[in-house]
Amino acid sequence: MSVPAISIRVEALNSKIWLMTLYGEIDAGQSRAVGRALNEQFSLGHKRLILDLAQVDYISSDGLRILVGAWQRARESKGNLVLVGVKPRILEMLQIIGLDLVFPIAETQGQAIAHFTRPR
Amino acid sequence: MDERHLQIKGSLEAIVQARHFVHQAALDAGLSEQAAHHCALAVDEACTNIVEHGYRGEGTNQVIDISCRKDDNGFVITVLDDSPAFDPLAVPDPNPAASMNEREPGGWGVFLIKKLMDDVVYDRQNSRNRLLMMKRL
Repeated sequence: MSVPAISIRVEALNSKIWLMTLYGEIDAGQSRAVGRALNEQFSLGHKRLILDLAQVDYISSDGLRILVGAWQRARESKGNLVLVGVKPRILEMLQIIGLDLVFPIAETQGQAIAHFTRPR
Repeated sequence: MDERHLQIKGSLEAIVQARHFVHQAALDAGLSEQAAHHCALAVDEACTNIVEHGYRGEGTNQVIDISCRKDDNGFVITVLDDSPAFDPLAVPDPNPAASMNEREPGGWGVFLIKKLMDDVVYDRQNSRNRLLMMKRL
């Protein structure tokens, strides 16, 4: 059986906000690739990230750990990591672990962008 | 449903096979799509713990044996491995209400298994670790 590789696309929404779209399943075997891609963005100074999970059907706790690490790194840089397109089964996991209270979760890309513009 | 068996290599890349194997067996046993997903996630987390902590990395020649069966109580997944004796159920649960700064890293996988499955039992069988995970039908 072939291993479904994760596919990652990154694009600038404007000069300050970057959108990373993930495609595939994020288990322990694939989470490192996601971590590398996120670290690359932080190395480039892209600290305001929207992570689109609409094409992600599966994520394990290792995958969530990578996302939490990225969220922490973004916050340390006075940026943020906003999730969008979170499917019910992934939201269920976030709720069980209590991460739904940690991550900003938006329903649409527009709402995700608004997270970065509203006053804190 | 007859009992089914799968043996995978003790590597992270092989775990997808266990996940898909259990998902299909759970559906064939009559579980809902959501319950089958819970079973697939549980076996993924169990195997990931074995590879990362029991087998301490990849590239080993060790294996993980997975079996699925349906009994009067529900759908039962058995995971057997050859790493040193370790009871994953003894790992303290993380506190979902704690802030990220207060949390110890790790423990999420086992916590998910406990939350998603209806019964989980660990024991030793023939010098192997055995984890039984049951989902009610």
